[in-house]
Amino acid sequence: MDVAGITVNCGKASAPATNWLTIIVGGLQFLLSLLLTAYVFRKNYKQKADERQASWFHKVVVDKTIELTASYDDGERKFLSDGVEACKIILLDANLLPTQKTEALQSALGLFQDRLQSLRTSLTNLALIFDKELADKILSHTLTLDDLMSQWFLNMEMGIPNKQSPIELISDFHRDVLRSLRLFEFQDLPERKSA
Amino acid sequence: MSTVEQLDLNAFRTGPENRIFSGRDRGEEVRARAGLDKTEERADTVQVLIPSDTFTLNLSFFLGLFTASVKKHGAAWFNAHYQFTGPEIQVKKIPTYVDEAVKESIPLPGR
Repeated sequence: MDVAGITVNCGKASAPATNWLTIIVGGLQFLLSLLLTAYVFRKNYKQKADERQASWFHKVVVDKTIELTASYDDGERKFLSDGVEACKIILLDANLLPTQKTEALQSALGLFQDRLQSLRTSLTNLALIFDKELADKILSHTLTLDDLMSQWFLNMEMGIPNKQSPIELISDFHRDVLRSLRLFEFQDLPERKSA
Repeated sequence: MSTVEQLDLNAFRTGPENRIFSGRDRGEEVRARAGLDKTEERADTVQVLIPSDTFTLNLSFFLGLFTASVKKHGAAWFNAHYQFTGPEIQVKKIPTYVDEAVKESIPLPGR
């Protein structure tokens, strides 16, 4: 249309440009929805994998460790209280030589160490399935218990009062093992994943 | 001619009253102070003398003292190279301790 020498575009010429714009916007929307789908799919997959790993960790490590340490705790309370009572009687026996008394205490400690060694092997083998650092931590707890109990028996032999009972030492160990498992699952693992 | 050197643990007590060899840190410290890296390279046999009045020689101390040797040379070399003498109740623990040192030496993926 030509009005006073000015050509006015009534819209016919802008139609292709609008079409292109629609195509580009549509294409971008499609691309965005594709990316969003891929992101959601990937996130869900990762979440499922994490859930499967957590479930497996509980089944293979946590549940077994709790079972083993609880059973050890119960058994050791009996073994240790019997062993300590026997040692007390031996220490009071005037007919025995000091070397015989020492040997009796070493023998009681040796039995404790044998039982602890068996638990150590089981616990570290379970933790190793998932993580070497976790296994090292659990090993370290068993070594600490071994050292503290050794000092406890030596103090007993030397007549030095002990601040804690053997049962308290076992309870501390039990708590430390469970705390390491909790920290591994709820602190160490999330930190590693976010790193 | 084979050379034999001694590692007398009596020289590494923390005090005259101390009859327990325990603690990984303590074991590592004794290894460094005794210069065990050089000793074991130099000698064909290293005799480890455990004092007769030792109440207990614990795994923690053993791992600190000998894990590096087992890691470097393996258990077979260690068993052939080191001789332990002292109270029987302590010496008989050594094979189990070597097994534990072997387990520590196996490289495993951390995660």
